[in-house]
Formats: sequence, C-alpha cells, structure tokens
Amino acid sequence: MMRRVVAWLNLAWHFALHCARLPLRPLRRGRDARRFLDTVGPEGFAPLPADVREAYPSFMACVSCGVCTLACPVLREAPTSAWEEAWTFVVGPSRSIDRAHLLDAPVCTYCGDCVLACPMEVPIPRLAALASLGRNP
Amino acid sequence: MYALPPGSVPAIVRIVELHFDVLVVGGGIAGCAAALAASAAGRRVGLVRAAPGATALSAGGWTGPLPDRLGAALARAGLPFAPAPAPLPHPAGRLDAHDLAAPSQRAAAPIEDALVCGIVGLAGFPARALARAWGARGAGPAGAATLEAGPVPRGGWSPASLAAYLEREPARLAEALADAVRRASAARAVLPAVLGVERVDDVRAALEAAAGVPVGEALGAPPSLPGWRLERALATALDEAGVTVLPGRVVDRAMEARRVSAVWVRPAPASGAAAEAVAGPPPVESVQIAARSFVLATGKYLAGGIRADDRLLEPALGCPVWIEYLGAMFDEADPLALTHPDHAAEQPLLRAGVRTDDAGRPVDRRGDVVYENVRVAGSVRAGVDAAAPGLGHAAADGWRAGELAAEDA
Repeated sequence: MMRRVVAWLNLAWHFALHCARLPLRPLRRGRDARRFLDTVGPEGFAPLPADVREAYPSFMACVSCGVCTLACPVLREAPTSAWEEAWTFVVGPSRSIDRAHLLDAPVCTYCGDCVLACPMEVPIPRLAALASLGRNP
Repeated sequence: MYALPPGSVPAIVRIVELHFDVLVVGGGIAGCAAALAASAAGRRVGLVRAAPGATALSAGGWTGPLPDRLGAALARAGLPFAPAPAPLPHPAGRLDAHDLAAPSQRAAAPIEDALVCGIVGLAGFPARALARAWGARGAGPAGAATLEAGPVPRGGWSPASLAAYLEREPARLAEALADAVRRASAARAVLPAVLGVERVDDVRAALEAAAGVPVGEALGAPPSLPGWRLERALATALDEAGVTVLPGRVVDRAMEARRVSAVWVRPAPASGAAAEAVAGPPPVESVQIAARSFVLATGKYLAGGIRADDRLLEPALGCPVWIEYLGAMFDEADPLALTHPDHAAEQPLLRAGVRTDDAGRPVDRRGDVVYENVRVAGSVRAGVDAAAPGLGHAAADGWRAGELAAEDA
C-alpha cells in the first residue's frame, strides 16, 4: 500500500515537472528530437517522414524478376558485385525497408532506365536515394 | 463498369493528341508481332507499352510457330531463331524441348558430347550436378568443369554483371575454357547464359576461337539474358519498321458508339534527378492517342494486363473478365475455388482473361462484341495459361490480330 502511494506521488511529481517545462520547449532547439533518435537509431528503426512511408507499398511491389539489373546502364559501364546492383538492391528493402541503410547504396545516376524496365513500376531511383540518405545522414 | 485505378487520376491534364491508324497496347511478343504485321500492311502504327513483361523473362527457346516476316525481322535485328537440334539444357536441371532457339542456345545441344562449364563466383549453375541431371536420360555430357572468368567481386558475380564483364574481358575465360575442353576432349562446351548482355555473338566468337569447339549457353532463368536480348531485338525490329513506341500505361478510353476512339496514356517517367527521386515523381500528365483500330496485347498478371485485386479487371480498356469453372461464374479471384494444390493440374485462375469471338474481338457474357475495332491477342486472352511457355503461339496470335486490325483501319 505504502509503495503504491510513493509510486503515484513520484509519477505526479514528474508530470508536474513536465507541465512546468512545456513552455521552455522551444528553447531546447531539437535536443529532445536528437535524444530520441540516439535511442532508436542503434536499433535500426529510423523514423521516416509520412510521404516516404506512403511510398512503401510501391517499393513492396517488387516481384524479383531482375529486369532492372539488365537495363541499368551504370552496371553496363562498371560490372560490380551481385550485392550492389539494382535487383538485389530493390528486393531486400522491398521486403524490409528499415534495412535499406544496411546495403551499399549503388552508384545511381537517376537516369530512370530501371523504372522504364520494371513491370511493377517500383520507383527504384527513389529507393536508391533513400538508401544513400540512410547511409550518410 | 470501369473506374480509373486509384492513384492514376492525372493531376494536370495536358492534351497531346496523337493519331495512328492502328494503336497496339502492350509490347510483349504478341503486341510487337501485331505492330509489325500492321506496319507490314502499310498502316501508321503506334505501340504503347508500360514495361517489359513475360517476354523479357523468356529463356531463349521458342515454342510454337514463328511468323515468317517476324522471324526475318528478328534475324535482321541480330537474333535469328532456327530449329533446335535437340532438347535444350535448363539451369534447373531438366532438358526442355523447344521448336526453335536463339543461336547461342542452339549451340548447347545436343548435350551428350558437351563439357558443362560453371564459373567461379556465379551462383545457380553447379556444373557437376547439372551434368549429372542433364545426362540422366541419355549418354550424359562429356564432363564438368568450373572455370575462372576473372577477379570475383566481393559478393560474387550476378548474371548481369558477369555478362557485362565478359563483353569487355572474354580473354581469361577463353583461356580457361580452351584448357578445359582440351583436357576433357569434348566436342562442345555449355556455359550459363551469361556470355554478354547484348553482344553475345562477339563473346561467343572469342570463346570458340580459343576453344576450337562450338560454345553454347544453357537456357536462362530470370533475370534471363536471352529474354533481354529478345526484348532488345524486338525494340530494334519495331524501330526498323517505323512503329512509334510510347512508354506509358493506358489509364482510360474514349468511346463512340461501340468503338474505341481514343485512349488516355499516362507516360512513364523518363528520367529524374536525385532530388526528384527523393521527393517523388512530379504531377502526372496524360496523353490522348486516337486510332482507327486497336490491338489489346497487355499480357496477364505479371505485366498488369489482368488484375485480380478485388474483382477481376482488365485495366487498359475495361473489357469484361470473368471465369467459368465447373458451371459457376466467378467475378472475383477466389483462390480456394480457382486454384488446385497440384501445380500440374488445371489452374482456372491462371487462365482468366478477356474472351473473344472468332475474329479476336472482346465479347461480354451474352457473347456480344464489346468494342468492334479492338482485337485481343496474346496471354491477356482467356484460356491462355500465362505460366505455360509458348512465345510462338502468342506471336502467331499477335500477327493475326495485327493483320485484322490493319484491315479495320
């Protein structure tokens, strides 16, 4: 009984502090946001803006046909590892987007040839741009 | 009856009117054959295509008839199909019988006297196991070897990057192949389908010059380089025939009486800068294309010619789609009723499509023609199983539809 009272009083004290500090929030200049990102970042769950989340279903349309890889002019110029080309690059993040930043982002020139080749119209350059953002925040 | 798919409503409508005698919707083998046929009949032909579909995933063999003039056009584009001397080796370990084959696949048969060659760092082509599997029916290949093509990248080779590398540097593979063929005293060599992205003739010539025996490729599994070469050869043939190719997707159609007078096309995004790639595509504009007759050759589920999201739908022209199975009519893609757990059994869901009269025009359930100036061809038709191989059947179907559409125009 006594412990429960202490716990409630503690909670009330912290809530009162929180309410008292609210008007000071603009003075903290993003320190709260940074603390939040420092906490969730190492777990691999980067929070993303709403418009990027809305694009997820279009990334997930990938059917692993691999035609984007054959159409990619960058690859034609500089053959590279199986893990650094459009196909493997799209398939992985299309199933778990939060892993996009774990991949080596391809050297993408955003020419759009892969989008023309994709039967499911996956916006591949957009995914490449997101991955390079995740790698160099 | 027909609604625009969500997200396809143009934000800014800019009317760019184009006029053709015949407009082909779909750029797979059926659509390309139709466009070439209508063009050969002297018509002004346009072709709207969203993206490469099942044709670009084909393995390098050809089943069914090849219309003469289509075969000639492909040969001029550097891809002469000719009768296959024997069943062709597939990297899944089976031998596939095809009527015709591309030159590099033709050189892989017969497998009996061949040396099966894998490449160090390339997954999916275990030479020793494949030699055993392919030899299971007959005398068996002369042997197996695994060759070095060059410095293996950190993550291994993918078919596309190895093909791009071999177009530049075939010398090291040629040297290793010559050595292996000499030791096995084989009469031919079979490699995975990675001998060049498009310049396969140059790579094969270099290998054959060094090895002194015919060098062939096995059939391709997706991402299939033989399928991509067919795709490129068709693009060359369309260009040569003067067909105007418009990348984009048909989103709506305009009607006059029971004829389609024009279609609205949402063009594919041509290119984008990095900033645009992050921010998403710019507002969509639509193009209106008028024609006197149309060919619908949009393919089935992969290419988006038939959709089974909620109800069965043919999104380009809104032709009626339904399935008749065991005396019942299905508007919806009911997977429990319309598929069979044995994959070799009949799969009614995979045969869904647009039904046509004898002249290839789309019909509704009463059997009345829906659009009098539309001909339907290829795997968008009902009764054609999209999973069954048969480029030739689609090509012949498309050629006939193109000829009929040219008569309409």
